[in-house]
Parts: sequence; C-alpha cells; structure tokens
Amino acid sequence: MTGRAPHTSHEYDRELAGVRRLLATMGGEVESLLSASLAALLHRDQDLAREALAREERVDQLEMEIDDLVHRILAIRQPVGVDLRFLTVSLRATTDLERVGDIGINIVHRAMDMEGHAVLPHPGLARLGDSARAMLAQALDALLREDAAAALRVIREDDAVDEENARIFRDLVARMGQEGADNEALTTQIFAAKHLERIADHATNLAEKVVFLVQGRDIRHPRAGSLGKGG
Amino acid sequence: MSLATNGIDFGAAVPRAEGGEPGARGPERTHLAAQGVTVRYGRNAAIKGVSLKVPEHRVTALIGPSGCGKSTFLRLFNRMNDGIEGISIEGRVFLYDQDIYARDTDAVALRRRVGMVFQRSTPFPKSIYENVAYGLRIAGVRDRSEIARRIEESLVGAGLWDEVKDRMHDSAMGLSGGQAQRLCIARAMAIRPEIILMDEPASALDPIATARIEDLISSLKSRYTIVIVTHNLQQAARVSDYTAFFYMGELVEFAPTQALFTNPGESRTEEYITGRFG
Repeated sequence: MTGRAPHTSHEYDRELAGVRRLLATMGGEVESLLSASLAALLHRDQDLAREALAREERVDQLEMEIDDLVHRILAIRQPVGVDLRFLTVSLRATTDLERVGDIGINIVHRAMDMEGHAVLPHPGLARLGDSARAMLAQALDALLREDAAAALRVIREDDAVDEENARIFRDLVARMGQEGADNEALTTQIFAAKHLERIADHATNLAEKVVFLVQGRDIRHPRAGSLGKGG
Repeated sequence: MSLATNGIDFGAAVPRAEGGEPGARGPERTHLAAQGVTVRYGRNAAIKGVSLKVPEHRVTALIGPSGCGKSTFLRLFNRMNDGIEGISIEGRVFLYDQDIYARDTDAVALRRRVGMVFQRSTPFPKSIYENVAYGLRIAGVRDRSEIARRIEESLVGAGLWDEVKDRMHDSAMGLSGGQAQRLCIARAMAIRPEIILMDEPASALDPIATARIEDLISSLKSRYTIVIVTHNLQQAARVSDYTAFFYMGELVEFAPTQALFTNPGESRTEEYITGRFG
C-alpha cells in the first residue's frame, strides 16, 4: 500500500501493518458511530442512538490497543524516518478519532435533548453532517493510503464547514427572537452544529498529520513554525 | 546555509540546513574538509569522489553498511591509511587551510592535532599513569609536574579520574572494557588535539559503558571537533550534530542529524536508517 521496500525484519513489517490495520478498524468504527449519531439527530431514530452509544466502548478499546502497540514498537524498534513519523502520527490520530467518537456521543445526547420538541432539525445540519462525515472519511483514506494531495483537499474544505456552521448559528439565533420560539430546542441545534464543525476540525487535524507523515512537513501552525525558527 | 570555508570553496557537501537549525548556533567554521577524494585499494575504489566539510566543535557521525568506506574516510583525516599497501588517494583533504596530504605535511605532527580512538580499547601493558604519560613524553613534554597535571586533566576530562585516582600505578590491563576505552580517550586528549576521530568507540562495550562514552562525547564537543564512525544508528542519532550516510564508497547524504533521522532527503538514506536494506 505504501510502496516502500520491506524491512529486513519481517516481524517489524508485521507490527507496522498491525498498527495500520487497527487504525483502519478504529476509523471505520468512528465513521459508523458518527453516521448513527447523525441519523439519530436528523431522523430521531432511537435504535441508531443506541447503536452509536454501543460503539463508543469499542472505539475507546481500539484507541488503547493502538497506543499500546505503538509504544511497544517505539520501545523495541527505536524507529526513525518514515516509520517514526507513521508511529507518532498514529498515536495522535487515535486521539483525534477518539475525540470524534466522543463528539458523536455528544450528538446523540443532543438528539435525546430534542425529544418531545416539535421543532424540526435545521436543514443545514444535514449538509453540515454530510460535509463533516465526508471530510473524516477522506482524511482516513488519505492516512491509510499516505496520500498528501488528498489530505490537502480535506484541509481546504474546512472553511466551507465553518461558514455553514456560522450560517446555521445566525439563522437559529434569528428564530429565537420570534414569537413562540422553542429556544431550548434551537439552542440544542446550535450545539449540534458546533459539534459537527468540531468533527470537521478533527478531520482537518488528521489531514495535517498525513502531510507530515508523507512529506515530513509540519503544516499545522505556519506562524508558530516561523517564530520557532527565530523569525 | 553556508559554513565558513576558511578560503576553501570547492562545493564540498555541507549538511543541508532544514530541521537541525545549524544557523541557530551561529556560523560554523569548517575544521576538516575533503575535496573530491577517491581512495583505491589496488583497483577497488573504497571512496568515490567524496567532498564533505566537517564543522568545528560539532560531532559528525559517519554511518553506512559494512564496506561502505566510512572507516577509510575517517582515517584520511590523520593519514592512518598511509601505510596500507596498494592504497592510492586522489583529491585533497584539509585541516583548516592546511593540505593534509601535501608533501611538507608532517604526519606525526598532524596526528598530534588529530587524535584517534579505536573500536577495541588499546591500553598499553603499563600502569594507568604510564598509559597517558607515554604519549606526552613522545610529544616532548618532559616536566614531571606538567605531565602529572595533564594526566589528571585528561582523566577528569574522560570521566575516569574518580575511578582510578587511587590506583594510578596499577596495570591498565585490569580496567574494565569501558574504563579502558575512556583511558584511551584520555590518552588521546592528553596531547591536546583539536580533533578526535572515533572508529566504533563503543561497539565492544555493554549498554552502561556505552552510555558513559556517549555522555563523554557530548561533553567533549565544546573543546574538540569529533568525527565518529558508528554502526549503531541510535548512537549516531543520540550523540551527533551532523550525520553523513555513505553507501558503496559514495556520500549519499550529509545533513543535520535530527533531519536525517526524521525526514531524510534521499530514498537510499531512508531505506538504510529504517532497516529496509538487504
């Protein structure tokens, strides 16, 4: 998949492949959790809400499993070069993925908060959810294929998500001022939109790590980078 | 990045700047420089047209698989290859502006400036005191108090003084491997060289003795320029400021160590340091 020559130690190759496989599994679990939580929010589907909650434990387990395996490889192989970058990126990717899982659970809670309220979900939430989910899927794909160009495309999509979130916020706040508005339900939707926007941020973080993995370039904080090098 | 060249400017490899930030330490003067050096043993070229500048008061590591020419290259800097039958050396090697292979360069005087520590510790079958005093006497130091002072100074510098100060007249053959290697470093330091070449200095030592040698290397670089050949990549990563990767007699990459071990510029370097070789 990565196009690199195998290590002299085949066991080392198997260990790295193990990390990659677990990352793919964790990514898949998080994507499923997110889909279920979005459906719970948009369609008020209780079964999907329960499914999302059930997946959280598996996501947490996978995070610990990956971290444990990476720590073991760091200790016994003392990796360098692209292997070192892959392993440090993996450690940080699990943190992003676990956070997306947590945010998915927060979305389920927002879906529960909406129960008993007549207000329909804002149509922008579906668009925002689709964008956040697509960004996460593309970032994961870029990570597993080590595709920096695809990762950069994900990063460029983040601004549109921020704008969509701002539009939803303005719209919902405007509705709050109207006669008979259900402010509690509208506030819940503002939170839900913010959750989705944060998921897009984590997808962006993941994509930035892919660029570091492939190119050795840290693109996270360009200004901080130049300050760190003495201007 | 540009290293100060002391008037030598022949496009020799200087470590690429990214990652290691040599500029942050201020300009670095070139201490040793190879210019288009080819070394042949008979018809076989062990070094092929290598140009490289070693910065002053830094640790430069030479890495590469067995037979890549790194030890041959190291020994160029104090002419330790001179006596080898059938060897021929093309190109030029400089210590500052001095051409090491010029007809009027005295190899013995050169070796006083460029000391060497070998893979296997080589204590003489003499007392600890005599091991260090021997080189000083050959270097022309006759005054007993000066010899005693220089012995203590070099043993302190090599981190061995506290372990041997009460048994200076015991045989050096009774020292452990790590102590014997530090004695050899003290012996090299006693004649106050500018440069210390180390050829696998810790390869025969246990991990604790190795850690002490590595600590010592780090502490010595404020006073000496150090060039170290090592098979232990982690050791190169730990102790050196710059790393040169040799493969089949060619210099593949020369870069700040941090950059070379996290994001090498050449695919052959990446394959070697990540263990994807052979």
